[in-house]
Amino acid sequence: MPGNLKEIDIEDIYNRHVDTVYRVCYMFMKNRSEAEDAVQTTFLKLMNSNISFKDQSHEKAWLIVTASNVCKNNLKHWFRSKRRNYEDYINDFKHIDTHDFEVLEEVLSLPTKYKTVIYLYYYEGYSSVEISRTLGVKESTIRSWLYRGRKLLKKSLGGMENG
Amino acid sequence: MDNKIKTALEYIKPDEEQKERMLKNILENKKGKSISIGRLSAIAASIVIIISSLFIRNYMDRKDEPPTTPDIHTPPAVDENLPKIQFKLSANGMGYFSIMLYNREELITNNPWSEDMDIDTLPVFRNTLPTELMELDDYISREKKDELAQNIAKILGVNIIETDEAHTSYKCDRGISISIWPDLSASIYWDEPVKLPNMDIEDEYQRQVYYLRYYYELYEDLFNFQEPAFEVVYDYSFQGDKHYSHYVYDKKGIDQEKILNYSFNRASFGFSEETNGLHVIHLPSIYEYEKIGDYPIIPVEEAISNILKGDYLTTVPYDENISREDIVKIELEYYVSPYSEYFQPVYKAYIELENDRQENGLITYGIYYTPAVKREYVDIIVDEVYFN
Repeated sequence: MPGNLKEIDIEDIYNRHVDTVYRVCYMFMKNRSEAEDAVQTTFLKLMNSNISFKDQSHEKAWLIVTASNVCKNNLKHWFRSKRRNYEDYINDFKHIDTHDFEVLEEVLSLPTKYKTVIYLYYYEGYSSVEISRTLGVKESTIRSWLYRGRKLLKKSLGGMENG
Repeated sequence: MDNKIKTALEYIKPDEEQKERMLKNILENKKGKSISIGRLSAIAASIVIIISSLFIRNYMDRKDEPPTTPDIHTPPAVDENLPKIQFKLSANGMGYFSIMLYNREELITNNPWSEDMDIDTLPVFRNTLPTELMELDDYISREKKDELAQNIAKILGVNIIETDEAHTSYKCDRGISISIWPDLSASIYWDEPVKLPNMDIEDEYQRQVYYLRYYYELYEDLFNFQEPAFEVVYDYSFQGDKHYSHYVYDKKGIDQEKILNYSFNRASFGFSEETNGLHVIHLPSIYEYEKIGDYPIIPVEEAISNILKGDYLTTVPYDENISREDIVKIELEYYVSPYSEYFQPVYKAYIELENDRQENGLITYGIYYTPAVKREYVDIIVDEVYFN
């Protein structure tokens, strides 16, 4: 029988991290229903794994990396059959401040690798060393990606660096 | 910047209804209920892709198992049993790999790769064609070569009227001949050049792009390109004469597919203003090489660092002390040589050579290669290379 986690464990982990996993998935998929689908796939992978977490930060890192991988695969599967529905995307955030929307849109438009490190660095507060360990990429590369990601954001959101 | 990004990202969160729905689906699925519509869409889409492209199918096999410890991420989708490959240059004694330009701004390519791409793995192929010329000539059957020549002739609307003994050269009516090469690439030659179109573009480079588009559209039935991309590059002779090269490839699909198409499915058009027309089109090989596996790819920063450490192959005969500033351009493509055992992705760097400057101001940019495949899977083999 696959998986060691009981239903109650899954619910606990789900409640602790669903916002994070959804946020990661949305950043990749940029669409509510596709993000939901990726969230479900991520937790199903958890249920079918034999993993035992050392602590909650391990749990969170595992889920972030798994969700990223799920989304990357989904994007490859869907590259021909699906196009992002821009109207849906606008509707998801129609209630938010215009400037925040601009920032959000620019972050979501970044190439995947920059988006991931920008998220982990600025939102999750991971250091470049922690991101390096989590993603399995050299720290110098992470710093380079952070630099390029920031540069792209500054270019598109001119003057943002002062904020 | 950090506060603004964090504030904006805060808006991304599921509402309570979504949370309940997702949890319900997850728990139901654990009990063996059906998977979500989205998953079925993905599976359906993957079936279409498997049918449509061999290359794409290879990327679908990617595993995405997560890390089992908090601080070590398992890199994506690497088969632990991947055989180690070798990288060596196949110079055939004709000078060294380089181009001559007046300045680095002239170094223009239209390689679809960019360092912003998220390339985790790329396939490596085994060159199953013989590397000895004598064996190579007879490796592909005459019937296969005839079939390819017939197909090309049919698309061009001409008839083959004569074939040589080796079935490599096919003379057609209307002043056209077709050559079929041992790797099943082909060339079409016109006795009289197909005249350049009239136009009044002043910029010389833009004129070349215009001509290329014109000829591509004229003969586009020869290609099955969904999203043609045009590449015009040039260099100079020692005397300062400018020579253009013109290529078209298919830029469709995911990033990996673009990279593969750029290296393996790129056509070349031979024309010039001097000859007032097109005299040859080289069609890419249709031979199917054997895929060995999907190999992990190093990021470009690591490739640059390897080059600076001296971890590269080049046919440049000078000992250059390479600094970061000397690397004028670096891009990822496949090293494809008929003499190579493996066709593998490499980073190709153009290095400004201090030792090779011409009196007329021309600067030589030497080409240096370093493997793009992670080093634990590839050995660099240094062969002695002779130059003319």
